[in-house]
Amino acid sequence: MEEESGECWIFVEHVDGKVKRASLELMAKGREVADRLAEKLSAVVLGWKHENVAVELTRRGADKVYLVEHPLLKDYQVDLYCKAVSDLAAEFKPDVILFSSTFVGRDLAPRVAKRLKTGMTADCLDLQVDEERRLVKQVKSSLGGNIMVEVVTPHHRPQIATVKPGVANPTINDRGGIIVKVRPSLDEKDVMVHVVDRFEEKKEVDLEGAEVVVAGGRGAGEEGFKLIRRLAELLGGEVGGTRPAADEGWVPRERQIGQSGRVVSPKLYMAFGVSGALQHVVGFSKAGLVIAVNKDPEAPIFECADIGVVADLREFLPVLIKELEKKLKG
Amino acid sequence: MHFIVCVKQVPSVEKVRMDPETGRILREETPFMMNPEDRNALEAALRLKEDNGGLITAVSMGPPQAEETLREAVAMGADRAVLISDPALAGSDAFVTSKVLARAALKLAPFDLVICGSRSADGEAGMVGIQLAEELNLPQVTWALELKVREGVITAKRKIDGGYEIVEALLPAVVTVIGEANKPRYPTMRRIVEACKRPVERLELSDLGLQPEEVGLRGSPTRIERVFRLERRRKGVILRKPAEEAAREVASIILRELAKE
Repeated sequence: MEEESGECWIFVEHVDGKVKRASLELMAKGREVADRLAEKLSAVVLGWKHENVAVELTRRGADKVYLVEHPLLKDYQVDLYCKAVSDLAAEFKPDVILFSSTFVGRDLAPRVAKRLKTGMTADCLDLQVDEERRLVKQVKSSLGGNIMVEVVTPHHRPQIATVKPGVANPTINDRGGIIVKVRPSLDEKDVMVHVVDRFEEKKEVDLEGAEVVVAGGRGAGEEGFKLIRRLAELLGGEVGGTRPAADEGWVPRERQIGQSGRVVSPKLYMAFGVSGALQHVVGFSKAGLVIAVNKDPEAPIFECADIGVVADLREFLPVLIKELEKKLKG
Repeated sequence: MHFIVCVKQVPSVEKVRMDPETGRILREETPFMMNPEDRNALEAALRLKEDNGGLITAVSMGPPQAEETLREAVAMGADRAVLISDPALAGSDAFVTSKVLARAALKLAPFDLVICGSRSADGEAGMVGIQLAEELNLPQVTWALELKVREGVITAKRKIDGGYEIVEALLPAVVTVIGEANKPRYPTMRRIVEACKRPVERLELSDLGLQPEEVGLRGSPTRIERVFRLERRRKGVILRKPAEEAAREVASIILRELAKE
């Protein structure tokens, strides 16, 4: 085994001077992992003129922040970001590098892992630690949620994983961490993929931070989703859906919940016309109260709900909405 | 132009049957198919070929049965099919799979574009296409929705958080395609019949200059240590009441829950 410096790294994403929620969650999770491995937690943050982001990270559990500054790192670009992170890792030899399962993390991490000639696990739902062997146990779903697998990288370093947002709650934890400024050696010539234009269509939906999530599945239908949206609005919550519902176009893809979508942990999760495929269930396993409504008394969703109602949602939802309207306004 | 499309045979995740003890797939009882996003990758290649001319080679790494998936690719319109099959490859992770596919691509070179589905339905990692690009030291264009090739440059519309972007790269390049990109065509009867007659070429480890210890379980940096089923823990209360009555009760429960700190 190669020499280790005993650092667990978090690749941090930020926008407009603010750390993204997914990265704050990962800092909290990373702190747990680092403590159990008896390692330092280091945040790695790339950009240009973003020192305030590094300062924020010292309040989020970091022992050390690598502030990697270069004009070419202002916006994400895979070739430059890969070079900057890989060069830094080659120099400081971290034991673990964690990325968020965002478009950036999922684009970048596999390339970094390959360059560093090490293994990687994608879209982890949880991370555990084997203290004895000093390994991060990377838990993810596989085969469309039919099984969960625990993956380790026994002999290669660093251990790399992307972790799905929703893995932990952000915490405030000021440990007086130090900021290490890094000036990477980058050149325009390193760029192979050129971004010509970028369209941010909609504001990012904060499903991970939502207190209430109302979701629909294949059984909801287009009509059912109208009622679901009304209910969500009434409760100040967010709308979610299963993969089949997103495939049908009843709910936007970015609101898909589950292994191939997002992981939420609201106080209240409601599932309408959802069969309960494990692929979907892993997306709300950390929710507070789960209420499921389905016509089919045999639907597996009832095994994952605190309260189940065997009913046609087209009959059930209008009454529920009326009743809540009455009580919330009265 | 030469397009290489990587295809994988996967179990149908909806109909997969597994040994409850070991988590191993029961091959005889499980239907297998071409990975859905690999169909989108092949469709993207077929459209590029229609616009630019050229040749499509479908490549798969897998057990001998993966030949069925390659025949399907030929039935959809691929010109050539290559199966990389070797017992030593069993248990390869993404790191190794991308190395093997990269060697195969170099063997089939020259090529202009390698196109992959963005992720497989069984492994769900979305790593192989990207690691293949790194292995070949080529540009990676992930989650492509639209592709155009002109004068040695690929232009792609690709999905990003909350929107999309347009990117350009010099060929050769590696592209991964998502399911929203297109609707894959169905093969015609004539092509299906033709595909049955077409030979599937074989590559073995030695053809790729790889040693058995570099691949498979032994060569893979990651190891699956445990396979388990997610517990369905919340065996809760079931309300078997008329819809209206249940709705009123649920309304009270919701309000009580949300009032809690």
